[in-house]
Amino acid sequence: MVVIEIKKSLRDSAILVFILLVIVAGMAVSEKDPYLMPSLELFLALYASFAGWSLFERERQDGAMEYLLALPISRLRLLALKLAPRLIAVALILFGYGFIHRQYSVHALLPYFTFACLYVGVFLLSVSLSLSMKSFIGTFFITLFLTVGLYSFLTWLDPSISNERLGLQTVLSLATATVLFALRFRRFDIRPLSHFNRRYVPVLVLLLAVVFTLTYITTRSRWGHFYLTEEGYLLSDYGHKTVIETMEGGRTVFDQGMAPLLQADKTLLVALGRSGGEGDDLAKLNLETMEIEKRWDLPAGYWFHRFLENRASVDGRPCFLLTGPHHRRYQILELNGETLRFIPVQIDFGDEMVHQISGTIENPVRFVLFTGTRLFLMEENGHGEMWMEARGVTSWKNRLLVFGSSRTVLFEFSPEPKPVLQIEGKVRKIWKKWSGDIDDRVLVLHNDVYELLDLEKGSLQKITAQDRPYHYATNREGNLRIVWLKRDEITVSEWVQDRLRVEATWYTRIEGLKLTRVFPAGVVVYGRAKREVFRFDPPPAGLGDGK
Amino acid sequence: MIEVSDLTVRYGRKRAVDALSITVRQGESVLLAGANGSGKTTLLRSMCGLLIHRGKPVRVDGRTLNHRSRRRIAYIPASISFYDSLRVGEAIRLHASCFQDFTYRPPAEFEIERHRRVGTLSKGEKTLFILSLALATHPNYLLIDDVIHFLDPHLRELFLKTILGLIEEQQLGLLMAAQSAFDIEGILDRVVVLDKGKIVLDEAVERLKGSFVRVYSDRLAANLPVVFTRDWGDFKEFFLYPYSDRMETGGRVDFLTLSEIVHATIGGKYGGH
Repeated sequence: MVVIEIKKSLRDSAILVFILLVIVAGMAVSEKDPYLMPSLELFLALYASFAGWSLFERERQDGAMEYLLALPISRLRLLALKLAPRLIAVALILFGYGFIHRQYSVHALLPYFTFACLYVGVFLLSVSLSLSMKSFIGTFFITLFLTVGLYSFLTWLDPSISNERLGLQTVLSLATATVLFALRFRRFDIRPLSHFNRRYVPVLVLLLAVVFTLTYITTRSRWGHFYLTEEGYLLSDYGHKTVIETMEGGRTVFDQGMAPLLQADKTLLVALGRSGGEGDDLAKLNLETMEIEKRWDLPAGYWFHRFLENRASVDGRPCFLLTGPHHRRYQILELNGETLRFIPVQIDFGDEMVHQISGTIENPVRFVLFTGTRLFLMEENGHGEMWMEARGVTSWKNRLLVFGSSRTVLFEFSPEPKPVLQIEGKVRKIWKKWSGDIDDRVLVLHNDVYELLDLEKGSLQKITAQDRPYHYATNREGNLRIVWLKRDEITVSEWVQDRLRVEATWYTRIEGLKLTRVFPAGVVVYGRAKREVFRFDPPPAGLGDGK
Repeated sequence: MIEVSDLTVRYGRKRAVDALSITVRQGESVLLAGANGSGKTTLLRSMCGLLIHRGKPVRVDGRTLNHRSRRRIAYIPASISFYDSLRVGEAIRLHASCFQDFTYRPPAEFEIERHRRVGTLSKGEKTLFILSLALATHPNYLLIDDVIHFLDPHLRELFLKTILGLIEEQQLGLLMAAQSAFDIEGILDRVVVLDKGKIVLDEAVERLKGSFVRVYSDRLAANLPVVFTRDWGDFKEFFLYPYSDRMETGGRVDFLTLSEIVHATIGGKYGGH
């Protein structure tokens, strides 16, 4: 039985092996045709489907089903005997394709692992339809539709899903159809196929519906780091993968994490995650071409803190905190045009970890490093010392706001520190989430009242607010924009001439679990497999689903 | 012994076999007769595991029928189903690979070139070839569906001779479905007639031949066991079973051959009685 099946599999595969050899030979001696690999991928999908569908084709053609079923072999063993040679042939062809892919992957539609999973998925699904479907073309289209459909469904539900998990989940989900087929085949007999189909096809359809439903229920998009550029590009960084979507529905996928650091015109400075989590590199992404324009290698093992606020500047040159291996070494990275300057931090932080570079103080330049409990001032040579204990800190030019447990003090460095404002009582800083700006104004909650603290003027003003502001940042006009969130309502207000003016109120249609992020360019509400973008500029109510 | 008890097989709503019980012993040869659609093929397929049914399982020599006990049963389907694209040699090797005990010995006057494709054999040749394969596995029971009519007189003789030899030598149990007992009467011990999935007659051949009669008469006494009647206009044929010579029929009584009995039984069904 096995010998005959092997012969048949070899006969079926021979033409494909021949084609693969011709392609290899062709590629070796001529220029790479961009259509060759996609054609080959489609052809292989056809083969995988045929290999599965033709499981009982010989019995159908020869009328040998009665003979086959009368043999003293259990149904499951019979299925295994028929399936094993095909599985081997399908695997060998896949490995053969792997060799070609390795050499000429440039033009392939899909990465090898992804293709391999879809290929196996098509095969398994075709096996499950081998008795029920008489038409091969029908089988091919159904299996391709379901396989690619499930694959796309998963991607749609969770854009953060890794290629490996995506492929494996697709294959394993579709393998349930093959398991069902095997179970039903145990009771397969010589009655007309309609008898088998009556009991099998509805269960198969139900199973696939359950698979899709469970996929929908269980697949949750992992929240990553997001960023909305001023042009409306939405960047989603999932650590191992970055997806950039445009307002027009365009989509570019990068197979590495890409955390936005700074946007300038049409370029975005990003921290590029290295494979295997071995730190970051710095790169400049061109938002028009969606290509990495320039890439700088960073010292091995160093990575960026992925918060836009975590940035300082020296004479307009952006500076970033780099954390090294085991959170025990730090460097300040200063970007001067195309040139990088690294300042190794020479301070001993003890058991504490630095998690914030909170700006710089000018004249002379000192970097403000904060561990969460202690504040350090570091000179440009990397040396420095602890300045004081604090609960929070923020800086603006030569001014430093230090939050204490019962008192908050605004210092001016000229160059020695001098307190210019003291606020008694409990003061809590409202964090600027993803503001992207180093602002001269800080929103604080002072004795349960929201107040705006102007670092430049050294003044404090009350803000009438019923709810906690979710985000604030300076807009293009230099006014402070505050975003308030209340369930499905997003209110954007502007602080103009010491008054709060409502700019727009938007309502999100996303229900249930959602995540709202406010960016300098707008607000994005993330739901499961769905998102809404509300842009501040051009006019707030004109875009997204705002009302 | 193959035991079938209370077997019911449905095709959709239709009951092909309805609460049927039958046994076939080793060394016994049984004719399974019945009109088209009476359930012969369904019964044979159920007895060799080709049809899976709910209810009491078929038992073979005291064991439930499964893929292991199926080795004791050889089955020749009416479709003479086989891999037509295989060569004869390959077919023999394929069949041998599925059985531990396999000795291919075709009848002396029947040898097929091994390079020929099975599909190129005539129906008669293919039937005899499949029979040879079936017997090469040394079965205890041989189930043959209605294939005898595929064979020409020469092959039929060869076919029957081979089977007869095995019944005597190896105590082979034979259950053969056929529309007619012509030519095979000599090897049969018992006749089972099916109608609408039920057994309507199950009798040893000798007893059947001595108790199944045809009476030509205008009318018969009401207490006689008339199985069915044929009306020819001028006269009527009454078929009586079981008949004894003490019965007063008032007409000519003909004892029938087995072939005639089978024919009459099936014909009687079509006669609407």
